[in-house]
Amino acid sequence: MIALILIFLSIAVILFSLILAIIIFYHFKRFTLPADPNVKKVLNIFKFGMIILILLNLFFLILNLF
Amino acid sequence: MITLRENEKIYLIKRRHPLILRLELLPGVFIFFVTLVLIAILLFVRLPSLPEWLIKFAPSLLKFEIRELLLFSLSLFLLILWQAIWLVITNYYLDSWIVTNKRTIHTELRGLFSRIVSSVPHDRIQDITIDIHGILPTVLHFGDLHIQTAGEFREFIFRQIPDPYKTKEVIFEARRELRKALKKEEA
Repeated sequence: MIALILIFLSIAVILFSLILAIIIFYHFKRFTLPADPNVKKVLNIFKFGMIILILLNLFFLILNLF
Repeated sequence: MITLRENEKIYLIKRRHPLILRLELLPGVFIFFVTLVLIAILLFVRLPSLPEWLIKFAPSLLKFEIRELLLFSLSLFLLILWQAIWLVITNYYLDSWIVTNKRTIHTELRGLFSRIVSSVPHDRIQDITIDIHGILPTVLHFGDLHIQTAGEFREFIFRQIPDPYKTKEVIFEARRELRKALKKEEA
């Protein structure tokens, strides 16, 4: 039961993060100037930070389950 | 994307003063790093087992270690905090004022699903006033710049921008150039 709650929590937060990431990416692509050199840099930091945190979360989930 | 008109050149891109962003980010970033330190400590410290009353309440918890449950919870919290921090950054970055040789464009994010993009041609500008009040804005040279216009936009406000006096000069210069160009076209 607890394991199921942990899995559900993890999936819910990761899905929420991904949806928010899509919205943030959309805003950056849609409402910035085409030649803005910082956008790519800013989005890369956001993307890689999020990937690292999702992997960290999955690692701790696995640590709890096995 | 914001598309520029034919022969339109960008003179200035203004956002709120970076100090405003730093102040808004400070609590989130502080909590983020405290959580990271807690995770690092938990990785190397052994915690006592779960209290008996909790095990009586939920016996299936016996299979889990309190340390691993805490690490999992903190990692979830970090992920949520990361998104919150980036929402603040997105809001800061996309609230911008772009001064071109023809007009001033303002883009503003109002919530996740609401955006405003407006522009005012320089020939409609009647007056520009600068509003700096407070110790910090005076020392760090940032403040509000109000553009009074003729027509549908009565007032166009650049909020908490650095160097408002320089921005005012650039807009006036752009207006002068645009009026000259319009007069040439008419002649």
